[in-house]
Amino acid sequence: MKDVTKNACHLCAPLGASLVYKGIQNCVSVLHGSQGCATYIRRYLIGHFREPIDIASSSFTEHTAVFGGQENMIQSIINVINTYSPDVIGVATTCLSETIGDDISMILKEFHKRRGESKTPVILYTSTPSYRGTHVTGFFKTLHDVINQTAIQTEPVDRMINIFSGLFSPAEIRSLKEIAASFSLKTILFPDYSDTLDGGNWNQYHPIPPGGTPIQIINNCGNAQASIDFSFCQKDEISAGQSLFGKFGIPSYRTAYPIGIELCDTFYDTLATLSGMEIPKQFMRERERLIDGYVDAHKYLYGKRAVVFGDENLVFSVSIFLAEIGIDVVCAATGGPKDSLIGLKTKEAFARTDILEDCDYEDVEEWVIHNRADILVGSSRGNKIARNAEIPLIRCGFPIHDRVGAARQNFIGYKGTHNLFDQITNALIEQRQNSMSINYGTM
Amino acid sequence: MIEDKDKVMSKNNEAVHTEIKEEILSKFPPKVARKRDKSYVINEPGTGQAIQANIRTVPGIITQRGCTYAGCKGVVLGPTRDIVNITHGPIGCGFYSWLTRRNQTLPEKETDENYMAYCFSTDMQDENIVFGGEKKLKTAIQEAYDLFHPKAIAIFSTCPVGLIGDDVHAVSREMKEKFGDCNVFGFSCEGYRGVSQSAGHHIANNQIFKHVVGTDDTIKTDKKFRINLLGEYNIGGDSFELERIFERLGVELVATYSGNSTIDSIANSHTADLNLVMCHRSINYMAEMMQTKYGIPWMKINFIGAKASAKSLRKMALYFEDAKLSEEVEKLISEELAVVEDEVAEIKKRTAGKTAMLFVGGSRAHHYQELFKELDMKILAAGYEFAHRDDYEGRDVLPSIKVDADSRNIEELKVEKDPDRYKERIEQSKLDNLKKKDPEVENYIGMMSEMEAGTLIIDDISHYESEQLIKKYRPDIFCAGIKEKYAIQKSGVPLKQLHSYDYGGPYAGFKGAVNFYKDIDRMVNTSIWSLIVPPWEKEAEINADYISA
Repeated sequence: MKDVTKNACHLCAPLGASLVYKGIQNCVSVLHGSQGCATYIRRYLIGHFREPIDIASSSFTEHTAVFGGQENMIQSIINVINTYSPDVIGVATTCLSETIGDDISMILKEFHKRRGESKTPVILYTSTPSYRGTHVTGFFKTLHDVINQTAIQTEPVDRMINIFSGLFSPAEIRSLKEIAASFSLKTILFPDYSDTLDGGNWNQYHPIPPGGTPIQIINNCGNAQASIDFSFCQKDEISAGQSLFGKFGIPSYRTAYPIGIELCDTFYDTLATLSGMEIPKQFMRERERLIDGYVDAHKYLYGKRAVVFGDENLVFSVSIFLAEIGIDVVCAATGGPKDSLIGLKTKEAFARTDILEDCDYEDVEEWVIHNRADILVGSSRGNKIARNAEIPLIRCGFPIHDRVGAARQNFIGYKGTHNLFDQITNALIEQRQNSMSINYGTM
Repeated sequence: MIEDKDKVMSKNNEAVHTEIKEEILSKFPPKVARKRDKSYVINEPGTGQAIQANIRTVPGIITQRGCTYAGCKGVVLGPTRDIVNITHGPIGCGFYSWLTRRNQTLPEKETDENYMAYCFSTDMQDENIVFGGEKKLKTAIQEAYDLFHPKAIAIFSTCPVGLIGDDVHAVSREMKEKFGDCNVFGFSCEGYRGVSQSAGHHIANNQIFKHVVGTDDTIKTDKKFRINLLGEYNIGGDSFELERIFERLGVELVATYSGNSTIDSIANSHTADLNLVMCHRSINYMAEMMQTKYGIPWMKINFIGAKASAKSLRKMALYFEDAKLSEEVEKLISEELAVVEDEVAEIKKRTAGKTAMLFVGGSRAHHYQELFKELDMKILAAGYEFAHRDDYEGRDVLPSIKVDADSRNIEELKVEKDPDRYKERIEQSKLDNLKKKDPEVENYIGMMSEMEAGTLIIDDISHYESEQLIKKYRPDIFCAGIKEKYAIQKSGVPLKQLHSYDYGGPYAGFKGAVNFYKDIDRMVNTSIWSLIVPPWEKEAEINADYISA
């Protein structure tokens, strides 16, 4: 761990928590700490999704920091109940409340005691100090904690599975739901922020944007036959699927983000196994088209040098996809913790790849300056590197603050992969076209 | 429920406002409602109304406000390009304050130092919280020094730092002594220190005053008129436009606090002869301290709005009592205003009579009213996010503001005349004379006295309250920040961001005013809004309720 981080390639854990809570129907999240945390995180998420995102704060002052945050937390919850009438309140801690040692479960106990018989929403909580992990681990930890606190097993439901989502875009979540439905499976997808973070305009005023997984449905996760869990690069202790396996013996399929033929095949095969159905024809057609696309464009791609950076799960899958289409992943970098890309290290295709973990954007830029790259794939924070190196940046992951449409980006499944494939190929063609002295109209 | 705009705009708006206010506040528990009630005023200029401001945010009501760290690092010091700013704390705070306010900077030469694109953080981990982070901070400072050899390194504390007892000031002193050629100073700007980012502004002013101002006495030019511009942060290039204007007038801008600034200019800024104050809230401390220590008078000016800009320039010319400068100022104003008036005449046809609300900042909600007035638009309501009572009611109210526990947390520097550097810039009698003629010489009259009677003023508005205002009043445009933007626009009302300018600008000065007119025209008159209600609903006026499934 170095002492000064320059242009970090990760954000803090409560941001991940806030994102998970946006995937619950009629839920408002409350961050326990200084109000700057809620304000900053709202600013960052809203800039990416371009949708309203309300996050309350217990607004610590110096007094609270010295005497503890119980009263502020209780007051926050009451005010949120009165102004938003939520079904669920999602509490996440911050470095401030964790440093002074506030115990949320004790505070909630006190709250319920005082509340007595009054109608009270479900209150979920997670511990996400910024000094532990990243926004990605914060996301998976919160997902895990929500499932751990809510899932109950009553009567197993036939043909019902859980999909524990990753840091996908709303469009990708919609696509996952459609794919699962094509296998005639009943699916509980959580967290589902596909509507809350990519909604339409309103003819009617909504205190909380419509959408999200209802809490009663999340409770039902304990009755599923299996879980598909996208926490592939994460530790077992923050895997929701693993937790349900431990508690109720529900088998969990830890799955990488389905990008590229190999990883999509695994995902669709899992669905086929779980449903007892063959892979529906429409997906096989999409697969055929994707391979046909690979064939048509291989001449633009073979031997090109790509640098991939961002959230470890995304870097893992995108790297495998790039290798599959003949691009050399010369550097795969993540701000995630040490060993989060261990899955790549063990693969032959990445024997010559520089794998940077716990790195920052300056490390990536240094790498690009000293080595040669043709294309970058990662968040819009890589813009500086791309601009200096005069190479294209394909924006994917979080945050994307300099383009519209982050919520509509779909890079998963055979069809989604094809989008990503076309973007990468066209960026390389454009780069080549612009560098030629003659303006060729055919490339 | 009142949704008839004409009714709201009618003479009887006090009753209407009161009814709406009561409906909004009825959602809060009685204690909270009573507290929020004091932050609502139906304006009656000249009657000495008081508004509650700069008090703790009610926990759980979703506030626009940020934290002390944000005010210190993000606002006041972010725009100075050649200080290496290191955030001491876990990663979030540093990342979130990384080039987000879109303060621009333009080094004279490409090789000049510019660290604006960098975000340095000690990225504290578990073990630093347990065992202390001073060692890590020291190595981080050393690493930054070895890498860039900058003139200055500033350390910003985030929440855990104060709690675990890291002494950023001691570490800074030690490293400064060690380097010898690099000014290192720290800020105790932990997020919880104050009730909003305002506390951070004060902390930043103090430390810059202590550690930087007055450290370089050389006067580098022989320009006759030397001024500083305080509280101008170069959002969207505002400072560039103002630099253009001062350059044309032959006025030397010694330092801007802190848009497009360098640490050297701030070190030298005590040699200027006049301080012009833009954002009173964030920088009035500096103006006062420089007056006491160095004898530099200050005046409140406003370069947002073409007419306001003209007025501000005349005010400056009056201070310098120079016929040639006055002549130059008049010449510039007549040339620039001619262009502005041509543009606004055309746009006004489409904006006249439309309504606006502004809930932003600690000065902006006031300043931007000028531009809307120039477009013949009407202000329905306004309020600040983190201002104090003096920004609403004027500085006359200062002696009567009670110092509460939260304000007492922030150090008040004891400032005295500098025996060597204090210099009377203007005879006291002349200054008194100026003050008689202009209430905003070494004074600020606040927002309320300049707003019409019957307008609604609300401090620290919450998200819920702003949504209610939209529902009740349906203004033609709402001005706030990105956090409010998409919620308001969902209801079919455009939101203009006045923190980041929606990545447009500049809006200051004369060219800026024209940019603003065009942007507002585009926002309130785009054809998009006509698509919000589908044709079949327009006819039938179906009113379906959303039922949560």
